Amino acid sequence: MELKYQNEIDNFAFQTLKCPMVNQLPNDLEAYRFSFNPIEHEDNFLPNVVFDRKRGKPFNYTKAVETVRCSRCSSSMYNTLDFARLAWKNLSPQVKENLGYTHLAKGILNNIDGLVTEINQKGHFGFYESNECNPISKFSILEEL
Amino acid sequence: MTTNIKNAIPLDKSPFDGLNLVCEILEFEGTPVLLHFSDQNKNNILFYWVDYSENGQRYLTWKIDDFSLKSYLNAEISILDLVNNSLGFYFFILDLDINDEFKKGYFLNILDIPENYLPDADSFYNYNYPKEYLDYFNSEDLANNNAYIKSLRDTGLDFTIKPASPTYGDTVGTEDAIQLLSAITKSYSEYAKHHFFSAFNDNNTDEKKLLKKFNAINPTERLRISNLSFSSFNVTLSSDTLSRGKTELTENYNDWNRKLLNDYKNEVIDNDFSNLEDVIAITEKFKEPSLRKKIFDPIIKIIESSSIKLEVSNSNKSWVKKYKSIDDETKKVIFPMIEKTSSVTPKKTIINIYLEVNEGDEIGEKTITKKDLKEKILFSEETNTFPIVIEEIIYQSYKFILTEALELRIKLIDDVYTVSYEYLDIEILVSDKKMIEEYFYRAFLDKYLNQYLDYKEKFDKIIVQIMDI
Repeated sequence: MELKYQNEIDNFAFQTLKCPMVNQLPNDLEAYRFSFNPIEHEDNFLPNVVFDRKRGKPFNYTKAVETVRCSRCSSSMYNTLDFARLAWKNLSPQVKENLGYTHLAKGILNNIDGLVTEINQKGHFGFYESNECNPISKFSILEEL
Repeated sequence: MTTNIKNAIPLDKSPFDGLNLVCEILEFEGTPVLLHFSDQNKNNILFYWVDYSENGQRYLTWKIDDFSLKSYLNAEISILDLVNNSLGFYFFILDLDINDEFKKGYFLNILDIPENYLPDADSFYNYNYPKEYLDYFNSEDLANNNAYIKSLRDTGLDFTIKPASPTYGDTVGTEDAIQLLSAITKSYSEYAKHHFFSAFNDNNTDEKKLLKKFNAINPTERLRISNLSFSSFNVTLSSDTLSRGKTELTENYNDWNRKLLNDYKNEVIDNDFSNLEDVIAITEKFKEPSLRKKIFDPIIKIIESSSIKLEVSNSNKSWVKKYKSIDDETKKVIFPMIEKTSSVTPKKTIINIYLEVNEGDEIGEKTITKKDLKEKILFSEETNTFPIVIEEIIYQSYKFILTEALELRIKLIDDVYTVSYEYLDIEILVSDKKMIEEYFYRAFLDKYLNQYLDYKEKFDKIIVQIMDI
């Protein structure tokens, strides 16, 4: 499967692992994503590494180990609406403002859309978008934050 | 650009040295949001992500006790409560550069934390308990080093009861102790309800919604025992002031709840019930006799108990309240409808009679004679309740016709008739049965008009409306 952001992975020139470290297909996975309205906004669905660079969000890539760098090449998703809302609720108002997200979007990820990491206990998973995937058609704005 | 920090002492080096990361409790899209570190003295240090610029992250940091941290991880308190429970109430704001190295710092007081750095009141940890903490907390330390319980004790009220006679030394009976806790709980609960509705009810308020909010705050559940000691029986009761649980309903009321116990102390406990001036002030503050009965009667019963003496104080004993015996006349001012019956007057009771009559007969001297009453009784039994039906409410020259008749049950206990109508939270007590309806009319109108309408301005309008119907 060819990934849309393969060049970001290649830039890290991983020595100790093959990124993505997973081979898991989404299998019609329900996904929630922090977004900007409208869904066509150019900053929606960016992998973390691109989002950080584009929106001036600091991340210590030098110090980060390769597993972390690899996970930054995915975009962040949540498997339930509750987990997504909860993640947002815990942030300070200033951080919310800096991040700039305004909405939550919902979509279903199919096997052709890419690869997903394991869902953690807080409902978060990483999504490595494939070349075939068109997230704008798959996701729709669900609610305002 | 990060927010400017005002009223803070700038630091040119990190206040922390040799911190060990215990757990990254929260993260957002890979960025740590809430980090728990431990220093060399095993203090818990929290780092909360509050701001950032392209040059680095900014964290608010503070010390916290084990108990608060464990309460947070159990979703009992929020991140905001963790801030409010900080040890010493002082904080650091640390700017870390892109390599997570200390760049700049500030030392500041809790009041100077920028508002946009404080999380929402409902920032609860609604996740599974982290495995990193399964063996982390030492239960003995939790009990001793417990800022939460300490703060409850500091703000609580000490109730002490001592035996009135030395028969059993300094000890008091279990029933007396139960009576004390039960009396305070009842009285506090009624006071809280009255206080809440007085504070937040106005003409535009949906009362059912308000009641839902009151039940969500649940001040009675929040009245906690924070200390117990033997002296003779001493219990500290405190109001939990943390913003707990689902706060959609409660978030605007935490300030109210914070002051509640102190208001209760001032308005209910700190009265000399033997002093007529104090008692008159009570009747002016709590105008409805049935409300006074609910709030003050439990306390007065304790004061009047022949087996114990009550004393109440604050935590540092700068305020101590002792009570004198209350004479009947003064008591009548507080509870005017309850008149003590003379010992020579026989106690009243109610007889429920089943009588055989001809169809169409009405109860009256002409149709049913005294002889009939003697001869035609099928069955009689003593009871303490009887029903009345209210079809209309009469006030002066006005008459309200009710769309549905009210069926009320009257109880007679110790020569006092009690009429309750739960829907409007009415309870009246009268010693003369002739007064039942009149007092009920008054209480009904008072409740109805006070709760739903502005009595003085709209009264005439309502009458017109009712007459139109």
